[in-house]
Parts: sequence; C-alpha cells; structure tokens
Amino acid sequence: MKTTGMKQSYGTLTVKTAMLVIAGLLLFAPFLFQDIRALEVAARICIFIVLVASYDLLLGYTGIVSFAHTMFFGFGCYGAAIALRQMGPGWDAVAIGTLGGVLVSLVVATVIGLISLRVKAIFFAMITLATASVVLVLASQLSQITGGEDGITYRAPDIFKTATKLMVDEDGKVLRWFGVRLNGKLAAYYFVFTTSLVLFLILLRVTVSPLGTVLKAIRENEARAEAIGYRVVAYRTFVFCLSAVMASLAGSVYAIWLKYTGPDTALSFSIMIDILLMVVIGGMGTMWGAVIGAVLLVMAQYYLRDLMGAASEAVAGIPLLPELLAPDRWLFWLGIIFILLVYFFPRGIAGTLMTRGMRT
Amino acid sequence: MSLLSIRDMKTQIGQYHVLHGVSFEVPEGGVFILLGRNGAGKTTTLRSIMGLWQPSPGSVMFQGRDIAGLATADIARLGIAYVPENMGIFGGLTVEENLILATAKGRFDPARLRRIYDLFPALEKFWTKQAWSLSGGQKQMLSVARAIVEPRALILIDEPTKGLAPSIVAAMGEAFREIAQTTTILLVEQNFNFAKSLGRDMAVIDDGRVVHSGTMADFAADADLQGALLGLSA
Amino acid sequence: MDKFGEILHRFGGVNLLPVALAAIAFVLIGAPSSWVTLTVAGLAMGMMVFLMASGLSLVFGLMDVLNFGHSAFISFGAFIAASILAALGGWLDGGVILASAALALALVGAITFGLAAGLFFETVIIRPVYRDHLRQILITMGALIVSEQVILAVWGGTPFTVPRPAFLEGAWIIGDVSIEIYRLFAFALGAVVFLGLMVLLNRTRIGLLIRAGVENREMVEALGFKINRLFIGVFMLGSALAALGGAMWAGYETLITPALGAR
Repeated sequence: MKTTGMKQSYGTLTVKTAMLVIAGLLLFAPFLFQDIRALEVAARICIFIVLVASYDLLLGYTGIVSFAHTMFFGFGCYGAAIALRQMGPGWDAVAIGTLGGVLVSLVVATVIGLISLRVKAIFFAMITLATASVVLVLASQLSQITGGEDGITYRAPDIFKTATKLMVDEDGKVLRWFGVRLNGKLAAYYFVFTTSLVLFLILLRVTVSPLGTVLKAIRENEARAEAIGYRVVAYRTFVFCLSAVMASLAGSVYAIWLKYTGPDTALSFSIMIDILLMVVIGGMGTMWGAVIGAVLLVMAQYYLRDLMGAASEAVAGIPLLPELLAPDRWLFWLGIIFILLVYFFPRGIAGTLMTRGMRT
Repeated sequence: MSLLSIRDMKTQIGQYHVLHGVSFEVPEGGVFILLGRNGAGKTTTLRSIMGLWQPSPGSVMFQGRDIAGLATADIARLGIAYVPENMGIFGGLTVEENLILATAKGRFDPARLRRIYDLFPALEKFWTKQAWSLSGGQKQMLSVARAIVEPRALILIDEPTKGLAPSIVAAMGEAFREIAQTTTILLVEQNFNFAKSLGRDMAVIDDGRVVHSGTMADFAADADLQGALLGLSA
Repeated sequence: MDKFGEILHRFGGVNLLPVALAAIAFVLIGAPSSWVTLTVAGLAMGMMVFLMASGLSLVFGLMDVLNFGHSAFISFGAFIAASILAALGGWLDGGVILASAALALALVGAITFGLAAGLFFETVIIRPVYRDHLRQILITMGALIVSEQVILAVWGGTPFTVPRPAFLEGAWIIGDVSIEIYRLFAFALGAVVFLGLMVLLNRTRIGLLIRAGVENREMVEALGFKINRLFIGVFMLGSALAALGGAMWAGYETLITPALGAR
C-alpha cells in the first residue's frame, strides 16, 4: 500500500481525531464521569486496548489465529494475584508476580510457537485452543494456589487504597480537585492509564518499525517472504512471544486494579471471544482498530444491556423477539454484526474508514 | 473447423497476469504440441482451457461452443480429459478405483478396458494395488488411462515424460500414437525430440503469448527458429 | 480427535486400539465385574464422541474447513431431541412401541435439523470463505456465538431435564456385573452408524468420490464431478451426525445446558 507521502484521507483524519478524543476522555475520565461504574469502564477500556492491540499484532499483522491470548492474560493476572496474596501488598510482590507471569508466558509461547507455528493456521488454532483449555482446567483444579473457581482476593499496594490520601487540605481531609477526591482510587486509575498507554505506544512503535513491514510481508505471501530470506517461523514465534508478554503485562495491571483474580475475569473463553470481536469489529491490521473495538465493546458490555432491556420491554408480546432483545442476549447481536463485518468489511471500522476517500 | 479454437485468452492468477492473449487452433485428430520454455504459460493455458483458472476475456471454442467460464466439471463432461503435470492420481485409491471413478456410470466398457490393458500391461498387473505404491512411470500410465477410459474428444496432457526413464518414454510415445488415432491430444512437452516424433501441428508459447504456430515438420526443419524460440542449441 | 476419526475411516486396524486399551484396563482394574461396567461405559461414551467428531473430521478432511460451529450442531441436536421427548412425554410411559416411536421421532428431529442446518451453513456461511482459513475460523466462531445465544434465547439458561423412554432406563444385572441399558443402546446405535459410514466410504461411488476429493479436489472436478454438490452433501451428513450425537448425549446426561457442545 502506498500510504507514505500521500495526503491523508479524511477517513484517516476521522480515525485520528477519534483517537485523540478517546485518549482525552480516558485521560480525564475520573474528572468527567464521577461515578464508580464509569471509572471501572474506563480502566477496563485501557486494559483491553492493550490486550486487543497485542492480539491484533498476531491476527491482523501476522495472520496467526490464536485462542490462547486470554491464557497469557491470565498468566499475568494470576502471577500478580498469587504474589500479592502470598507476599502481602507491596511493590516487591507486584514486581515478582508480574515478572513471573511474563516468564511463564514467554516460556509457554516459545514452546507453542516453535512446535506449531510451522503448521497450517487451523492446526495452530486448535493447539492454542487445547492449551488454553488445559490451563483453564488447571486453574480451577489447583485451588490451593489459584483459589479454584472462587478465585483469589488480595490487597493492592497501599497507595492504591481508596482510603489513601494523596494530598490533604488544611484540615487533614483528602483534597478535592474539581470535585474529585485525590485518593488511592485515583492513583490506581492513573497507574492503569499510564501503563496501558506505555504498552500501547510500544506496540504502535513495533508496527511501524521494519519488523512490522516484515510481518505484513509474511502475512501477504509467506512463501515469498521465506524465499527472500526471512525466517518465517522465527519471526512468527517472536511476534507470538511479544504479544504474549504484552497480554501478560496487561493482565498483571488488571489484577492490581481489580484486587480480585478468578477464572471468569482472567481466563474464561468468553474473554477470548470478546477480544476476537473487538479486533474484528475495530479493524484488523491497524492499532487504531484495536482502540475503537475495545472502546465500543466494553461500552456495549456495560451500557448496551440497559438499552436492550428497554427495547425488550418495548416489543413484549411479539414471539421470540423479546427473548432475543433481552439484556443477556447482547452477544447474539454482536455475533451477527461480527459475521457481517467479516464478510463485508473485513477491515473493520477503522480500516474501512481509513480507506474511505483514499481512492476518489 | 478446428476442434478447439482459442482466441485472445488472458488469464490472471491473483495479481499476476500470466497469459497476455493466447490464440491458437487445434485441428481435429492427431497430436497437437504446445512448446515453450519454463514459465512461458503452457500449464496455465491447459488449466485455463479446463476451467481450473478462469480465463478472461477472450473465448475458448470447443466443437463450436464457447466453454470459457464454464465450471470444470461441465467442461469435462463435454468430452475433455486432463492429465496434469503432477499426474493427479488418487494415491489412497487402488488402480481399479482410480479408473472406475473416471467412468461415467461406474462400470467399465470391456472393450475399452481391454485396450487399456494392452496399452499399459502394468496396470492390469497392479490392478488392486493402491496407486501411491506405483512407480512414477506407472502412475503416469494410470493418469493417461484414466483419460481414455471413456470416449473423449480431446485430451490435454501436461509434460508426461518429465522424469521418466527413456524406455518408458518410448512406450508412452507408442501409446499416444495409438490414442491419437481416435482422439485428439493437446500435448505440452519440453522434450523436443519426443514432441517432434509425435506432433503434426504445433504452437510455441513465450511470456504468455503464442509466438509461433505451424506444422511440426516445418518447425523441426528450421534450426534457427528452434534456437530463437526454445533456446535449443544444435 | 478429528484426525483420529479420519484414520479410523482409513484403516480398520486402528479399531483394535480400544480393544488394546480395554485389555490394559482389565489388568489395572483387576475386578472383572467393574471392568465390564467401565468398559461398556467407555465404549458408549466413545461411540457418542465418535458420532460427534466424525462429522467434523469428514468435513475437515474433504473440504479443508474447520467448522467451529460444529459444536452448535451438537447442542442443537441435544435440545431438539430433548424438546421432542418432553413434548411426547405421555408416549414414553405408554409401552415400548409408543416410547420407541417417541425416541425415533426425537432422533429423526435432531437429524433433520442437522441436515437443514448443514445446508444453510455450507451455502450461506462457509461457501463465501472457502480457502480463506483466517476468515473461515472467524466466521464459524461468529456463527457459534450466535447459535449459542439462540439456544439460550429459545431454551433459557437453566439446565433442561431430558426424559428417557422407560425401556432404556435401568440396568441389566448379570451376576455381579451391571450394565446400564442406555449405554448399550448408545453403543449399538454408534456401531450401526460407524458401519454405515464404513460401507458408504468403502463400498459406494459416493464414498469413492469423497476419498478422492480428500486427496485432490481439482482432479475430481476434472473428471466431471461437481465437487460443490459433494461438499454440501458431506457437510449436511456431518452436521446430521453431530446433531444425532448431541441427541444421544442428551439422553445419556439426562440434564443438559446450552454450553454442552463446547465440551
């Protein structure tokens, strides 16, 4: 594609403007939306942007279908969670847990990659699916360490406690800025925001580096890339490891934010499906797509249910429609949107927007 | 009227134009030879006739009917058989099963079967063996036999002598001569000496275009032309 | 597992594997009576898994399509059979003939659904994305998500109790060996389907075409066969087998949830 040196299309401008708006909203989220739920949503969006972007590096940039991305996310979550639980809330626990999660992810990713990235996409997908299932079962069985189905609760480092006062006024009460308490919760949110931003920027940097170009070459024509002299398996394994590490780091940050880790928040297959939906709906092969997908879907998860609940009541009496519009059926509609997008707009929202206005 | 008449056939594979407008006429009867260097577009021409690549635009007239754009199966049912370069036999099936699959009704015509046995005695010998266990030459025989198990108007054969021992090549030549008495063969061949002994008419493809066509006798006599078009020395 | 099914079709010799496993288990377990019980249970289970997986492996082998929606067929088969049985609840207690009729209707219902769903899936969902593995995986995943949601919407999220015909309840006691009748039934039905598939693949022209198509699609076309029709047929067959397997599974578990097909 000839994008370099070309005047940016209005579609690209739209996407970039949207990025700035989203970044701004996330940066000032605690001040703009002053309720607990909104802050939860904002933090989840931050985490999922990293998670989805790192998955897009696999799916969109390299054309690898993996079902083990949640597993790496889970390694990060459980790493931090177990360390915090065993060692108490301290930065040393955070560091050891995070590092442990990253190491496990790295080892597992390398092994899977070297063994199975040379085979066909379908087999790789199956192998990752099988591995992820095994880990999920292990996590619920090894309840001594992982807390089983119930998961683990633990305390985050003191600075993130809601009771912690970052700044106090003359009376010794927690200081307010624009009505927002400068407490530990705020610190925790900005911890999530900053680390997510840094991780996302690293991913962005990777995609515009020479490595990103090689990856696209491999995706477009594997045989030719190999013939030119690129060691396809090595590159794929490297990308698989990189994305695994990123997912693991995102997991650790999420574990610190939630102060709870269990199969449902860290490992379940529905998270994998969420990630897939986000990448495809946002747009494969562009980091901006990951951002759009994550924002839209997390918002949908939290707010679409309310909307659908209202819609469901509105059509009460018509057979089956109320059931399909029930708040719990939001996945049904997303699934349909997903299929339609894969057929008609394989580039997703961001990709489609960015090509708009380019040719004419 | 010629049996097969190709006009300005252009074929695109993915983003690459492989054929830039191929035109030639295959008259009824005998062996028509398609020559050309590696990568000139000979295999693509056969595959396009067979509908395995979609040619566009241009026309492929077979017995006065335009078959361009038809499905491969329909083209086959009009009476064109295909012997691909890799022979395309089903290794997990026995020799018998390979052949019976090529019959129209699942039954052998005894006379045709006798003819196949006569042309290729090895097939009778290994009748119940799985096809993967055959030698390269025997596989090639099976692939050709599959093309004549039913009456056909035209057989497309892609480089049948590649990698075969000289004695088998000679036997193959005999078989082709016999088959060509009743069926037209369009033969892609790199082995010029083999082709020379068989062909009546011929065409040369280079870089996705027909650069020469005429009779084999004229072409065989013109060493300069051979050198220029095929890069043959001496 | 799907690979195993394919090999199972190809070489009869692999059939000896369960026998070998059973023999090893016999040595390990020691007590003959519990060995028989467990072996029958294992065989019944294996046959049901075979029913469900054989469709997947057929489709994968011939069409090079890995259908993640396959497990949805299993779930649908289970729920449809269960619903039919529940609707015909009165028949189940009304003697062997009525109960058998209800059971047959339930299985036929599941199979019919499988055929129809297979036709729909092949022509509408998968046909546009042949040879594009990435989109194939994504599309069939999407279809799986939607199907699961439809099941949830139609049957609700609560576990569904599956009524069984009375004559399949209970167990036969021979000496100190007890064998659940339903397991025997599952095994027998699976064996019948297995034999049917073997005959289809090895003794018929369709089977010949399928085996040839697995190896070289283009050549099958070049011999004058429309491989697309074969694909549709095989896909429908595979889906029907999955639905049948799901239906049998429903009767085996007697309590089913929408996530059943995911295994």
